[in-house]
Amino acid sequence: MWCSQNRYYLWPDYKRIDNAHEFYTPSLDGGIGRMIEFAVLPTALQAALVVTLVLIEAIGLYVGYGMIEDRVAPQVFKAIANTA
Amino acid sequence: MELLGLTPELLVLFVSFGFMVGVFFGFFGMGGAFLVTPALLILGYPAPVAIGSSMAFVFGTAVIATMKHHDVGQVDYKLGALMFVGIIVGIEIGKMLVFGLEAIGRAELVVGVAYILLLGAIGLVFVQKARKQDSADGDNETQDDDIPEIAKKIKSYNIPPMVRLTDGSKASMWTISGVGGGVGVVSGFLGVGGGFIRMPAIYYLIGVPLAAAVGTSLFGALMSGAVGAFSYGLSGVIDIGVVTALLVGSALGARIGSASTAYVDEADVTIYFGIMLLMASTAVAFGELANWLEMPIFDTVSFVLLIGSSFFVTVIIIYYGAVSVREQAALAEETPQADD
Repeated sequence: MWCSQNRYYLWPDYKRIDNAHEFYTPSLDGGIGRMIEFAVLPTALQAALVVTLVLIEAIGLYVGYGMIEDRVAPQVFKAIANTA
Repeated sequence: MELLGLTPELLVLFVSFGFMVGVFFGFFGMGGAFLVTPALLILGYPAPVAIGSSMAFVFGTAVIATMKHHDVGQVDYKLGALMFVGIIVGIEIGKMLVFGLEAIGRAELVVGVAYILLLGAIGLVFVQKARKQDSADGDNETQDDDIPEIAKKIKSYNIPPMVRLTDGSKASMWTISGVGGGVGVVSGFLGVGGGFIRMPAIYYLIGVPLAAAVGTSLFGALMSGAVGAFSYGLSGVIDIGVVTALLVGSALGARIGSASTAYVDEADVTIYFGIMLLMASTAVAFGELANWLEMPIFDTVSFVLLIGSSFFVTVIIIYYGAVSVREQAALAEETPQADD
């Protein structure tokens, strides 16, 4: 029997998606507005903001990790090379 | 206490899993989202949420990969742009299928079964590839500028409108739209970037040389991810906390994975990657059994298989990389002494 509503969760305290259909159904509560506080905006703008947010995160992570790599990588390679 | 809307356990899990997925993506150039969607399904996320979040993750990962590839690789932006309309239509069709299935309560089951077949098939391809690498001596390697016979045959049919690609060759707009649309349906339905079919399709069907096909496929993944994230975002089914946690891990993992390509022979680890995909396929099957038979223990087995096999292959890649770095350092120290 199909029982997606009664799924077992690996963490007993993980209640977040027990009411997943309610939580994520946009017609009920504005969808992603529940996750990010811009539910007052039109749906298309919310979706565009999500895409923009991911884009900014990706660029930030690329640049940020790049700077860390420039500083840390030579020491890491040196440390690996020196291990017996 | 929650961060990004996730409990500390889940936050650590997603960052770690993102790291592993990033290592695979950086090392093999694929293997990103087609592990993320099954993982989210196993954790109990509804199919639209798993797919929508995975599409947003694909977008972020593809942005990072394209930025990296732009400087060193070849990207046919014109071809990528021409595929855009097909991608949009394909993703919309894939998304409609998912929501149609969700409406009748069958989305998790159908997407799960599709993943079992997909991961199993790709896993078998990698295992087969590893066995061939063992028996071959690399005497039939493909040149970057070569295009396969089937692509030459398809190109010989001039079905208008024909467009000129960046490399000077011509291709029918129908072939380009067909590739974009076909991969778009798979992307929209499974929440994957589709690189594992887009790259071969660009190479075999459109006839773009291999080096440019890889870069163009990444650019296509970026567009698929953007369109898919926007489309699923319209339905409010993207968990931005999950996406962020995965990206934090994958951006770091991708750097380590791509750095490892300079030190680790792909042939050494291909077999492990293939086996891992087969285990991931089995993991999804256990997840489906857990639902079907209402036996929670299968969910645990499923989770352990997916995360455990990913962890094992990540450790293998990093271990081989570290050994190779040490060997090269030792060799560099010995070389001046040998000269003396």
